Amino acid sequence: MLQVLVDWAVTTPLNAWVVNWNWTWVILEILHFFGLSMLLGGLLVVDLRYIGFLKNIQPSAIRKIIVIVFIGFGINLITGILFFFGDPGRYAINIGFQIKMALIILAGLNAMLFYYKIDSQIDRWRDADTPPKLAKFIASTSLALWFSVLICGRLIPYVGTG
Amino acid sequence: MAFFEWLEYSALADWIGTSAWGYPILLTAHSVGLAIIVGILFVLNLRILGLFSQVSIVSLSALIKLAWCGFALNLASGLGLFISQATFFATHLPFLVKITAILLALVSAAYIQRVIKAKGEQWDTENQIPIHAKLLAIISISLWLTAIIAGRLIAYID
Repeated sequence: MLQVLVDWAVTTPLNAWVVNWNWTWVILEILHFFGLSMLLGGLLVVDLRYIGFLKNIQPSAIRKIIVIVFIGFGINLITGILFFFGDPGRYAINIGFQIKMALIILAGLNAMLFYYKIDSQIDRWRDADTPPKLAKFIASTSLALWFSVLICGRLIPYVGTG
Repeated sequence: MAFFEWLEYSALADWIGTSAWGYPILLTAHSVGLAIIVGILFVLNLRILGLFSQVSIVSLSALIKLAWCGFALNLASGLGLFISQATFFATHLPFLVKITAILLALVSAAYIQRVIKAKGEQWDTENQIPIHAKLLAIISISLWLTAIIAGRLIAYID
């Protein structure tokens, strides 16, 4: 199935655009780095609060910072798709890329867990100094997963095929 | 230049440059540190610019300490990366632009930290941040962006 996707991707105009203009790749990389800074920076603030630091900030207020995380993710989803279309054969078989994608899916599921189990309960503990154990667990998992995503991504040029 | 040659021919630089994992591990650590320092300062600067006004600046500024940890990681990993090709980096324009931008960004971060220490509580209670602080936040964001752009260009410009 992956091979079908790769074969199709190289025939698209998107592939031609990414490959044919000299500056596309470096511009995409710069945007990808900026996006990851937004994603992880926002996430650090949000998750550290749910782990139990930054106690003076109300969870309901810090929740607004999640917007930065989403914008960063959006930038990196778009630039990431363009990377993939620019060189699908290389990414599809790369173990760093494969683990990275699996971790992003896990991070997405973890975020859904956060949304349904923690976010809806915030009002019940907004004045408590200690977030519930489940909130701490989900927030720690979130940070661990996303930093692992960053690490796997950076290692893509240096690891072999999966 | 002799100094940079000496650095580049040191045993440590040789290990970083020739071992299978020396360079990739340092690069990876460098990207983790980048995310921490630029990410945290970006959120803080947006707050100074007036976004998320319910979030206390004084509380948020506690994270500047973590940002400095990110910087320590990048100073250490960056020095390792530098010595592995010291003679190349020492005269390489994108690298020199990056280092200049980072030095200025660090000065502005330290200054922002000091100003928040002195005025943060007043800003929080009055919900009013002076224009010069906002200007500083824009300068800080621009400097980190410049550092990222120049840093990426290192790999693309001879």
